[in-house]
Amino acid sequence: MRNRYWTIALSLCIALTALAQKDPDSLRYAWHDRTKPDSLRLQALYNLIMEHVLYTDPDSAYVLAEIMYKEGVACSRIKAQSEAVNIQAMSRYMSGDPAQALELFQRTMAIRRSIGDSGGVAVAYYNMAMVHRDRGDLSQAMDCALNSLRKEESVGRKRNVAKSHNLIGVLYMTLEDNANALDSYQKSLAVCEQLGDSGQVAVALMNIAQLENLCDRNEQALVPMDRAMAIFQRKSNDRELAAANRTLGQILESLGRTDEALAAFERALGLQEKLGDVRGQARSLVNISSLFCSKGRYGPAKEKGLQALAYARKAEDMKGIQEAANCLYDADKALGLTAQALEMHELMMQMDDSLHSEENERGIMQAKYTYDLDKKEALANAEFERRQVATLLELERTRSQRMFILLAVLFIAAVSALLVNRYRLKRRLQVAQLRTRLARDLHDDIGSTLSSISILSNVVQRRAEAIGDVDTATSLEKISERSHRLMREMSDIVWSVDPGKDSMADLIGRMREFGVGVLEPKGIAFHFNAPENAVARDLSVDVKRNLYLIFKEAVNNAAKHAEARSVFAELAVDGRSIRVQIDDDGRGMQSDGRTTGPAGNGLRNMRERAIEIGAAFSTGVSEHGGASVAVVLPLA
Amino acid sequence: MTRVLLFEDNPDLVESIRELIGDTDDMRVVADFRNAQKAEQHVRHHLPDVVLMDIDMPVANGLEGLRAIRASGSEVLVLMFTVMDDNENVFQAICQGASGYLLKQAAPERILDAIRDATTGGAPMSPSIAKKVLTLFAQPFKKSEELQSLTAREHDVLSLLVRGHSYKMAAVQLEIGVETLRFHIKNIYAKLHVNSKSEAVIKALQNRVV
Repeated sequence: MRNRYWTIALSLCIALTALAQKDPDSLRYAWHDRTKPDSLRLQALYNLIMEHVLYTDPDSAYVLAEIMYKEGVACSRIKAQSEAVNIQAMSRYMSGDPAQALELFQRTMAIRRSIGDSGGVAVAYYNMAMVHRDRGDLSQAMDCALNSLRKEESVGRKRNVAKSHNLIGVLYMTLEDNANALDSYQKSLAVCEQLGDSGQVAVALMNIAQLENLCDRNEQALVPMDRAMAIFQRKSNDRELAAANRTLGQILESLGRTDEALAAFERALGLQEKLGDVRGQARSLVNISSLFCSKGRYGPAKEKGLQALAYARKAEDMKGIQEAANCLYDADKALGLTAQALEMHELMMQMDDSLHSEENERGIMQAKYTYDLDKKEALANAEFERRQVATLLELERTRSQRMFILLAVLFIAAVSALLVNRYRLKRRLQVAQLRTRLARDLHDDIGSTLSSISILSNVVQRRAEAIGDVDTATSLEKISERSHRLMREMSDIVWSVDPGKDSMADLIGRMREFGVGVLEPKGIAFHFNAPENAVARDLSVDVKRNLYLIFKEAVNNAAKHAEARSVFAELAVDGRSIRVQIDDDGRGMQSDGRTTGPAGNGLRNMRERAIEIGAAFSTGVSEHGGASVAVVLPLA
Repeated sequence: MTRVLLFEDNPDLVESIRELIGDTDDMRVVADFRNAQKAEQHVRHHLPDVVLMDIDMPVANGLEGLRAIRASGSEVLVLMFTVMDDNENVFQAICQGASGYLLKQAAPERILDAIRDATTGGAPMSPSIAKKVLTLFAQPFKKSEELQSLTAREHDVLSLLVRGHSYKMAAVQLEIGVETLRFHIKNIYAKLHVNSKSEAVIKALQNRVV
């Protein structure tokens, strides 16, 4: 009873708090907002990477994690450092580089050990066990899994203890040590029962049932199977119920209770139909067809087999196709339809080949699927843990009435968090608009006076030139030029904070104007390749400003230091990143790679600006012989 | 001798413009005012060839001054003098009859050139202004109104200017001379003036569509 209210309260909280800060832009904003405390900023960056980058673009996640790591070092936050390295490990794993992933998991573990975070060490062990298992290093996997178990027991996190036992059970099964596998599953079951987590209990029961079935101890399989079914029935979890019915059918079939087996398979089929699970339906039909074959009813076997084949094809399930073909082969042979039987045999062979070549792909795909499920579980886990510890202590002493009040209060808190967030965003917009207005007013005043300085010094300069006073003329020209430059920079500032000018098209237009304005008077050809119909994308103030400043610096360098005849600039956007590149055909950068002097300072500035917005910065030699500068900003 | 009338509220700037123009042989500042109150009277009194009109001034700003001048029937050249050219007011001013605009951040030589240009019929066009022109002409006009829409060539010119090309680069792209380009821009201005009186355009400006 208590558990039911628990799960309602928790799922509501998870859903609402997840809503409150889900969108990548507010996370980005929070990360860049230096007035916030470091812990909050790092948490925002972590959430951004985990929820919006890692599973779609692991390589970018790696880069972002690097930045998170550096920030963690700068703020002396060791936990953040370990989380960052963890993300990098996961990203490498998803990119198909398990060796690197293992190394990085080791690093994470070392960091966590150094701060005495046993729980974190346990999780690192668990992850490493999974990686080892996928690579087929079963003994290493077992070591890590056992270590994980020990750590979790020492920390007392029962849920993870159950998971570790479960993993160990799976590993024993793969090693074909069924006795130990059963033992581990039963331990997992015991812990789950202690926790009162019926979902996990059912999973453990199913594992045991399947194992007993595998060992041909089918009578023993029935007991846990029935219990698991009862739980799924109660929770009305159709998907699990369908899978359970299929397993039950297989157990009953092994026991020779064919009528009951058929009933179970049909129940599974019915549920899968309701769910629209085409793949599942194919597999259930295979079960039924195979059952008919074994009873000698080849006519109905063929009918069901053809249905199975059709569904399996629709779901593009190659194993399913193979199994269906197998049933049809048996049926056709028995019915004397040898030509068709041969056809089915061919099909089976074909599928065999495809399945083998698919094995390599599947390794990574499986890992991805596992991680997708684990990710959802992990997020739910984290929430669960935090709240459970806090509220479990309190509620231990209260009754169900108080639980209702708590539910209401948490609900209101979550809703108000949502509203406060929205209000905050509105305020931010207002502030941004006020800022722009102030900037413009200031700009007008200062700009006018600067203009007058520029003009006056120009006037005096010409008078000095007229009487041949070259020195005075030169100094005055400098004054005029500098105040002129200040005016342009002010104009840039007002542009960069103007919220109405945050589109990609605005940035491209201004870049082109600048390039033309600087290079054309010097007789340098300017080629700017940018998308005609720019992707309708809004840029944040930081990104807009920094990209523009890097561009300006690069173009100025080409104009002043490079002795170039042409400058080739490019801005490219694909779904994953923005790339800005500036090449020239001048004399190139000094190869001693200095970081001092005017050119060196400029490079350092550009690099820092790139880091500020989380972009990658690189320099090199352009294909035209001169310098090349590139900025790549990953898009979340 | 070109007679220049100056409306500007920043005293530093007024002083330096006077110096700048005073040093030339072909231009003279005949008077300056801190705001555009009674602008049409001043124009009638001093009979200038060119008016330099700041946009942001207290009491009566540049737009009001321009309106007053045009309303009094004067066809004198009015150049809006402004810090930023993507100010919405600049575009409005052009629609209401300004002959062009001038940036305060322009180099001093440019300022003198712009004044001379205006007297010989030239007109500037920056990317943001070009964009606004295109948007304005894309509005659906009622059939009953006789409005001049843009020619294909004028459209091409604006499209290139919108994307930041300079006059020289745009002319090269369109395979015409820079003078021809300037000619097109002048025509565009003229059409803006004419069309600006139409209901559709007034509505577009009011509703901040442009």
